[in-house]
Amino acid sequence: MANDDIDYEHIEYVDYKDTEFLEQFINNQGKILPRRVTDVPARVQRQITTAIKRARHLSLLPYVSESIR
Amino acid sequence: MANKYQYELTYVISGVVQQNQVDDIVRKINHLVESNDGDVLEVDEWGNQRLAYEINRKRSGYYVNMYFKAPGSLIERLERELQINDDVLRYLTLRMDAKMQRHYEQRKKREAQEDAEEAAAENGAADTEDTEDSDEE
Repeated sequence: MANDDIDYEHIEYVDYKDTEFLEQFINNQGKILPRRVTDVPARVQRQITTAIKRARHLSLLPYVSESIR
Repeated sequence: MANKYQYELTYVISGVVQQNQVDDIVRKINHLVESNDGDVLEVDEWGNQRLAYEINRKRSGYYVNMYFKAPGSLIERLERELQINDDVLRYLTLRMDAKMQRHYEQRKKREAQEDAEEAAAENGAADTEDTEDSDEE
């Protein structure tokens, strides 16, 4: 599902503040998608994972989405 | 002198707190940084936002994002202050590594460029208005 418009090889830092970007990598329950689905480089996937977890802590992203709570 | 590092701090103040109290908290935090040998580089208040999930029965929060340079010993005091304050729901302090700093500087540069373009566009609009005026004459 990797978005072809973005050059993932050249992403240096994934920002936890950029929730719009991070929302692409969570499913409708709020879970982080696995790399076999996201299809991004491992280095980037690791950064996305920490960024999502930071965003969750600050309540920028949900731990469990509203719809299934 | 102790080594200074660059930090990024984001904290969330409860959405039910009055604006003047919010200002007090922000001022207090900034003062704490400055009085402990730190330099505040940027304070960006995002304002009231809906929280992704309820915290202490609160549905909204006032987000403050700031950047500063300070010795590491400040962080302990700063986080203690934020922890004690019941109006602060969440905080996150990150020491900026080289990648984060480059990202930050790129964003700064982009913003400066956008501002310049906007100003140029406004000037351009003013210029065309001027020519229109001269046509009428």
